[in-house]
Amino acid sequence: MTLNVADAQPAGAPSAPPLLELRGISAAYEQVEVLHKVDLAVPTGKVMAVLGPNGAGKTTMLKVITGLHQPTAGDIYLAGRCVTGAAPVDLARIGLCSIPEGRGVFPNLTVSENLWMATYRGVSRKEIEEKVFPIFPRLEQRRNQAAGTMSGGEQQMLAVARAIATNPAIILLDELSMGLAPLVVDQLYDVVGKIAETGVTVLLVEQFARTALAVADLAAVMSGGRILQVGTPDEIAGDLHSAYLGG
Amino acid sequence: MGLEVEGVTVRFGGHTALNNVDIWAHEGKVTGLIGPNGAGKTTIFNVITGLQPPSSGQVRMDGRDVSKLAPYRRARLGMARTFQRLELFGSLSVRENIQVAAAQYRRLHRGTKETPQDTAARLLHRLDLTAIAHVRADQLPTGQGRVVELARSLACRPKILLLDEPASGQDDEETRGFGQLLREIAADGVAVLLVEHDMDLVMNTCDELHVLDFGKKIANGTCDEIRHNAAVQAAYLGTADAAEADEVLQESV
Amino acid sequence: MHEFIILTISGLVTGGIYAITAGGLTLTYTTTGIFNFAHGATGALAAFTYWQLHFDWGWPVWLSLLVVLGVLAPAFGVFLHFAIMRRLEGTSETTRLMVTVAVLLSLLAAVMWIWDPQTPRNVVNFFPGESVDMAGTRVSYHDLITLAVALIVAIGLWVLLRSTRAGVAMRATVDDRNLAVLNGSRPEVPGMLAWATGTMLAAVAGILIAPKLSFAALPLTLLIVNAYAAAVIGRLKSLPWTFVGAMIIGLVTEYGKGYLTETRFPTAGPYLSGLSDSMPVLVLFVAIMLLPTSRLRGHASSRTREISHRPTWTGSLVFAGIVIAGAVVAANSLAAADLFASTRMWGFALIGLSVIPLVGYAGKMSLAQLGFAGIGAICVSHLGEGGNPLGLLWAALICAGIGVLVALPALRLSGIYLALATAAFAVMLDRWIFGLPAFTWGDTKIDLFNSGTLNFERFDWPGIDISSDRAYFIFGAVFFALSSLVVVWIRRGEFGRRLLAMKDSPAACATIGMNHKLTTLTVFGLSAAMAGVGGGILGGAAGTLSPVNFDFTAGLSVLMLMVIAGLTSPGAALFAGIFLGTPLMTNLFPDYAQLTTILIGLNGIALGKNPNGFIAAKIRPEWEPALGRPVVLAGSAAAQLALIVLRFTDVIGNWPFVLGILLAVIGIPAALKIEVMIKAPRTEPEVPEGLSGQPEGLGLNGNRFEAADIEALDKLIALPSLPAAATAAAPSPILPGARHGA
Repeated sequence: MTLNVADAQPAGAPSAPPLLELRGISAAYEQVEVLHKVDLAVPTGKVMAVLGPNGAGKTTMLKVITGLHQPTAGDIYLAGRCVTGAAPVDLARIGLCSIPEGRGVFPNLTVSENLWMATYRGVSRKEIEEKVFPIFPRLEQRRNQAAGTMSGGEQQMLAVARAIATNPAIILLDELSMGLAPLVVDQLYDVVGKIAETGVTVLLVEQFARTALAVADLAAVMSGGRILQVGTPDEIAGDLHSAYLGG
Repeated sequence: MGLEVEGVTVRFGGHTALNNVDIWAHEGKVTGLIGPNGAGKTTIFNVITGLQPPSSGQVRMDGRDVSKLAPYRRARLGMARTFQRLELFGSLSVRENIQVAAAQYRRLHRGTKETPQDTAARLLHRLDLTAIAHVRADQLPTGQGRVVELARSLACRPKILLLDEPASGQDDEETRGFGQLLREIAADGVAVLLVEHDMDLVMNTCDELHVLDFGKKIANGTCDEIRHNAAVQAAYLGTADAAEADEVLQESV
Repeated sequence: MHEFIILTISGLVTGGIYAITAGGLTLTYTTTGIFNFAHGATGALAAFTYWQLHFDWGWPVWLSLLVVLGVLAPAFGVFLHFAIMRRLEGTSETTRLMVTVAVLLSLLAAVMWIWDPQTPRNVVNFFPGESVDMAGTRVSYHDLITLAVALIVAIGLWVLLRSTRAGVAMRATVDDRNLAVLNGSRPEVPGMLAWATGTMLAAVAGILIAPKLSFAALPLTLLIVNAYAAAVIGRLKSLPWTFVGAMIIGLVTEYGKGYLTETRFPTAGPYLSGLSDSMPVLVLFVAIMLLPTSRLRGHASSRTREISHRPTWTGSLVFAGIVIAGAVVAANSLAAADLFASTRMWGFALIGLSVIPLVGYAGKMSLAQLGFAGIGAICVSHLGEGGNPLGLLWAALICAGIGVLVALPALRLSGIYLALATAAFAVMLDRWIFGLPAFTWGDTKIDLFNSGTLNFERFDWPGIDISSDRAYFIFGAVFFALSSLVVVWIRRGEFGRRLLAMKDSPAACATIGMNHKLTTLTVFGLSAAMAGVGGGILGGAAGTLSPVNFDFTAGLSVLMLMVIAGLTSPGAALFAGIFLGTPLMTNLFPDYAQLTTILIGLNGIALGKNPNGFIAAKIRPEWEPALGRPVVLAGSAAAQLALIVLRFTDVIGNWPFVLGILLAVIGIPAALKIEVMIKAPRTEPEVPEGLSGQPEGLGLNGNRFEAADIEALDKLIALPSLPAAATAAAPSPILPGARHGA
């Protein structure tokens, strides 16, 4: 099975199913439940930003979606099909691409080898480099450098590059901005915006609210393992202060 | 006096995790250390306790430079900490976890009257752990594990107590009680340095705050000052331009 | 100069073989995190298979090589991966190490079983007799092939890991397993590939080196120790450095053999002969010492599958009592020959006990405990002449001192490196020190093993005569029982808590002000002392001992048995003693000399499934409840006592007696279960609130099942209740199925 936009959106149908949908997802570490019946729908071709303070359960939610963490209740639907319990490998191969928290690169592999790892969806190594290097010329300069020796920003560029090289149906981004200078973050989100314009669905999780809201079509606020609010970026921006800095 | 960290820089390869950071924690006060993920809070804890040698900078306890001392030597001078990723003695019971630390303290301070057993009993009672005293530490849920770590560090009778996200994994009510507990500990003359993401806890408990972002200190002050600090809002809400962030926030309020 | 060239060439050839071995070792370690002690044993198995095919059955060389290297070896690697290694995820480094040691022991035993070591066998070079002239020396084709293969392997591994997608995926899996999975890599594939390739390389090395060694399983298996050194020089990850290291070790060994000879050093010669064999081990030791200090870290995986219980005094006293009582019974019922053979068990049991504080509590891997026992035996033999018990004290003191000396450089090490360092020490004792001829130091003549065997006399305790086998057996049991109580006392006291704390989290130990160095040295010394005393007791039991009794693989067996039974239980030490120190297995299965080792190995392999050892997993849960029931215990004890009286008055014979004792012991948990069953209240389970009967029976056999039941049942299983209308529309009060029956 391969996910693509056409799968999810019968031509012209107004009520197309969301590309990704969480229904009543709960998840726990040991006995502590950290996600409480989360419902979330990411419409096909849209950029959805999930914002919220640390410990809100955002990363756990992404782990559940990618199959790395099993939910205790609820189901996950990809393009209308239930994929709860599927192995992360299989999800990746049908086009669910994820850049996990931290630096999503293999530090001891060179830039070129890191990109090579993205061939699992059938795009050849050459095609990948042809696609990616024009977007990130910096990576071409560092082609044979071990990824771990690059700066944080360059590493994250590499992670994004690898993600888009696979021609995914949906990309999950976890804290893309973590520990990066604002200029680099802007540049990265610029690229994310361009990917989204090509019809790729994006679910991104951020603490760095303003930048995320700038590229998002939809936003959700998460806190204490619950989705508190879903709306347009404008609607969401108003209520952020209390979620982040208390009181 | 308490704890002073001056000009600490840490580089990992090409990445600067901490850049010339000054922070301090005074005795009798709860000092908060906040900042977005990846700002370098745990790294600075590791530098203070000696687990991570800094590229440059100094750590002082009560005015004494301890930068060259091994972690266990700093602990013997009265520095204790808890860990963000639990570091319990998993094969020991909760009581034994506390006893190990208490016995270690007594071995170094021969005059101590209280036996390790009594210390353990007292702390179990104070932190409301008596019911799980016999449970093996690796069987505990994270929230309780954090309390046990706190009890273990209190058994060392620290002058400086570093707490790394002690409230994560605890529910709202537990967290409120926790804030009260921290105030009591500080009132005994301990310098408490608290890294925490629960802003309610931080704002209600801390006397002073330091804010880190990208490994740099961007602000310090009282809770109120920090809450209205434009740079902090920018750091948390993600605008490079502090003035703009302020504007956005003003509009929204 | 001519000699130098010859030595250099043979050094490079030897180095080439080490390089092939170490390359395979590094490959599996980097991709799966498992350091394969059985690598050499796999090579031995392959070499013997090759011998079988080519030399025994007469298959052509190419076909034999193709079958062994192309089919059997990779298949065996894949088998290892799926049957054993894959299951080791989430276990501690100790367990992983011990499982590969278990594979080593099983393979070694299997090879010796299939190919009887008594029958001489020969493997000759490829192209025997053919050679070329190089720089004025004749180099055989075989050596050239070896060098070429080493180069091909080095380049091939490089190409595999750098220039193939599969190789890159292998490295990616090492870097970040989860991320690799998210990138569509099946985590199984790299592991399988690594084991297949690694095993194939082991086979290549085994076949190439076979003509150079006396063709036997043990030297081939221990070839691995030499390759360790190369792998450590490459820090277990860099293939180029591993290759360089292998060449250095090959050269050093050959130069050592060539230059440190008796003709060159007439006085020192005899002492040096073992040294050149130990060269790789010395290099290994130096390489380990030069490793950078690992930073103080927390525990890698906070929650391993391994647990250790805190022993209770009651349980431990009962254990000690049973040991002594059992020993008295056995001493009076065993046949004289068996009794003599069995006295050695207490020596092994004490050596096993010495493993508990060091490996079990402190988590410090030591493969040298039997070596310390050997040192202890030497002390007792020389310093306790005429059975002077002070010999034991000397053994304890000297072993403690040496233990601390060994631990000092090893302080910075942990996990695999510590295991390798202690292995190096044990192998050095085994290959060199224990075999040293007599020498004089000052005015004292020192002859460690009397150039062959040590002699012992039974200890001469004031007031007690333990010179008979029966008395010595009971003495051993009492000594062991008391020592086991000491170990329990350590565990229950502050020192024991410190040891466990150190194992659980070194970082947290530092932050409570604990200096782990002192604690580590103490526990090393203590353990070495216990092992040394064990060696002395063993000597007193056996009368004569030779270095073979303390060889490296025998030491692995002791440790293995401890791990199988549970590293923290004194019962495990007893088990090790019975298994290794009594003729039990040979009596039961006289025709299967290798069965003991195979059994040990197979059980060890099962560790991946149950890393706590069978005592903690099986025996303790059954027996623990008994301790709280004095009646049951007393009943069993009384029954046993009665049996003993009956046996002594010759009312019953040996067989009924042994059976009776077994019944009385096994009966304890059984009696408990019966008691629980009898006492269990036979009341019906409570009917849930609101239901008219047990939910299973609702609507069946004319039982009622009404709307009220549905509502209550919904509440019970937390379903939203049906809309009232739906319930009301139900046609009759009896619903045979409907919503709940479907």
